[in-house]
Amino acid sequence: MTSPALRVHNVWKRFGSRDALAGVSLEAPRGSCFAMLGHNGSGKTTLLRILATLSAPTEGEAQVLGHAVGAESGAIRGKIGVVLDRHLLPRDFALRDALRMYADLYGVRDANARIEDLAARLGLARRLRDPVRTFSRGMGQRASICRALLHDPEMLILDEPFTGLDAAALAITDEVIQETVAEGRTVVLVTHDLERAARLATHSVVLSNGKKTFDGDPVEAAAAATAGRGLAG
Amino acid sequence: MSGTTAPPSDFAVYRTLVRWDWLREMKRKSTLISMGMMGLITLFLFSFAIPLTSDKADVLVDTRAGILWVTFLFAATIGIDRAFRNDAESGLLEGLLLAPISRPTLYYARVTSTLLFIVALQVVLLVLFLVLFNQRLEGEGLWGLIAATLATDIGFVTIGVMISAMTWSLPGGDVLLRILLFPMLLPIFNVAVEITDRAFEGQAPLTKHLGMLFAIDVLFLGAGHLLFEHLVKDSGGRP
Repeated sequence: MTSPALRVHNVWKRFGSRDALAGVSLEAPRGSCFAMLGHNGSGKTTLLRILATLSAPTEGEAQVLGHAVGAESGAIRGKIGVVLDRHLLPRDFALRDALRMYADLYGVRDANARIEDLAARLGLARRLRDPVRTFSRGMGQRASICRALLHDPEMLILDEPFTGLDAAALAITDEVIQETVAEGRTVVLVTHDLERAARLATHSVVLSNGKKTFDGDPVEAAAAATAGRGLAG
Repeated sequence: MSGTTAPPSDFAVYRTLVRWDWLREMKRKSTLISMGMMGLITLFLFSFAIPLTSDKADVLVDTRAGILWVTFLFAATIGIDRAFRNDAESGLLEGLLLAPISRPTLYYARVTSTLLFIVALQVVLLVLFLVLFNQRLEGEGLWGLIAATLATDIGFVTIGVMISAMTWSLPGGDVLLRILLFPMLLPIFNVAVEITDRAFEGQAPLTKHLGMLFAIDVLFLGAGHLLFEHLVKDSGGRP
């Protein structure tokens, strides 16, 4: 039997005396768009960073694509593409070179063609020669998605991917998410945008004060939020 | 992993990281310029403090090795401090930590690129030192100094990069780096100064001195290899 895309069991994360996550358990099937919703400080980004192997749980177990976070983090890293609030690209390089650096690190075959394909798909083909430092927030976000997709990951993890984007960039981001799911890959989405989450996600959880307060259908999650069950804004 | 990728070996990743570190620094030059300026200022201050008059010649002979290494230390510490700080502030460090790179490979690559910057700088500072203080290095002394400098640098950079990984995210991390690093460097710098003293006399380094540097290098490198993964385990975040 295939393991779920995500399996989180009783995960705690403590920063000093504060519990950022307090015994969260959840599962997400492969090929789903899994939305994690919650207000600021609810613990969703903390959980995302654990799933992205940037942080370790204080207690509990997390598995991504069948690999345990911690013991098998190396295997996870090769299979996930992560978009955070910053683009994570070297600012002084032209976009093509910045992406080429990551392509080399991931061992992407035929890297130049892959970079050009992705740049065209994300509307960045004409900016490949421009230094990353000259990019606007929206351009940086698209460049970041380009970086995350370079190695054709099995799972795309997105932290607030819609913040600060114009309509065109939002449409492109929506399209990338839908295409990724249509290809049978998994998308993990952390967002405040309830309307988008309800439209794009196939599964969702709501976190509040480090605890899971809702687990189920994204449309119901949005309704739960408006009813004040753990999600504000 | 899909057919789009062929996972590179650790050595290929190491080469890629060093190459891109070097290319980045050549574009930006901020670390090399900062280190160079610090080295220049230190050398000039010493040159004003110790006049090159014949009646003070003994003072210079007694202190020249120390002057050279204090200059190297002050300049190189800037490079060490920036080994992670620049990348962390720009977010690039998170990108590297997200990539399927083994942590020791990332550590060795960062040690190598920092070492390259420091050695490039030391060549310039050494020439400037010889001109400013009217000193000469020849024969066995010169080769001894080169060997000792490389061995000292390896120890200095391996432990420095490890402490830099510990301190970059802390408030006042740049100061803490120096507070932690300088005492740890005392044994290695004592030996380096002794070898440099002998080099100015035209003598080769003693085997026991080189052996001691080698042992310290192995110790520091082993510590970095074992501890680096734990130091960055939870530090993908911002400063």
